Amino acid sequence: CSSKPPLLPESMQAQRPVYDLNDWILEGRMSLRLEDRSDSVSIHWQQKQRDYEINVSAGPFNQSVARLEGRPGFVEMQVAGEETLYTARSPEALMNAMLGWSLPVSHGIYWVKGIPDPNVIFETHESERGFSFAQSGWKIDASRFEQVNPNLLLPRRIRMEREGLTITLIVSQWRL
Amino acid sequence: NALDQLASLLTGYERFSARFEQFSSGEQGTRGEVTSGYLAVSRPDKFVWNTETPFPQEIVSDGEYIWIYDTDLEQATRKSADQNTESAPALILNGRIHELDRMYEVTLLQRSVDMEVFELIPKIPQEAMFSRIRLLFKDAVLSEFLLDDTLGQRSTIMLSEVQLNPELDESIFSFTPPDDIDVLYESDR
Repeated sequence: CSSKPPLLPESMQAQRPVYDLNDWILEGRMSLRLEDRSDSVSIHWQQKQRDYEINVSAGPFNQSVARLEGRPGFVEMQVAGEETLYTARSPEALMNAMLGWSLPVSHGIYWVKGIPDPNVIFETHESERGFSFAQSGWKIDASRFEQVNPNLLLPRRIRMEREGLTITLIVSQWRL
Repeated sequence: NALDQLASLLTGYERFSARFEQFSSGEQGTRGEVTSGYLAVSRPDKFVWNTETPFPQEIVSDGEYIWIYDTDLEQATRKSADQNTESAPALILNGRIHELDRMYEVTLLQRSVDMEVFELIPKIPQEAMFSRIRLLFKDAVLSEFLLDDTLGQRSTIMLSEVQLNPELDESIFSFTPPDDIDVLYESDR
């Protein structure tokens, strides 16, 4: 995606600090629901500029399920119980192949902060609980916004829905 | 040998309860958060693992099904119990020494008057979810688990207020989901 500063529509100007925030760690719980199947996992997501590291773990003993490291255009993934290190251009394709579900990581870098990806068209929707919008076939609802620091308002609950797959992320800690 | 000593420490009681504190750490040191809560086991296959902080989550098994209820996620999922009973920590908590012996090489790393440290290494590493497990017993009571998984993450679980054969209300091992949440009954995979 382009590196020029995103052209923010008028309504998003207030969120400028959130757009500029690209050094963060998110700790949270995430549920993935596909028809009658559902899993809940713990997520540790570290973003440093355009590089990310995502650890997915599950179960009472917080066992690692998968680990992804990457940046736009390249991702490496390790899956618990397998020696091989998988690489691909996009995390979505790799996760789908390996885990049967995928986190929309490329857009998710923005969505988890409760903002649309500025490089792709989006439509905002009415939402009394928070802020919701549609983008790339996904419907995103961000809510439970909290002042993480004087000029940063970040959500604690993000729901992402697309064709039968519902991902709900509850952020227990933002570390900036 | 080490297995018999571990067996003597892990068998001989039917029920077990404790408070736990757990944190995960990777190569670069502590990474995850510290979670804390309460666990109870009623052998052979009932258990409760309730995380209280930072996020409330209840994992309850009556031996037939396992319920996972995430309060914040407003979702409860019921899965069949037999998928998870083979995990090493479950075998340890349930004192199923034969299965443990089949899957792990047990060695006694350290021993002193009031403390033993056992190490479990998988006999078939490719199949194991953990590359190494350590168990610390203080005064013959399990007080710490160290679980190194195959992706280089270590989960440390510290137990306190451990009780062997406590009086337990059996109803804690059955779960009925609250009515205003998503409830999912997962068919066997």
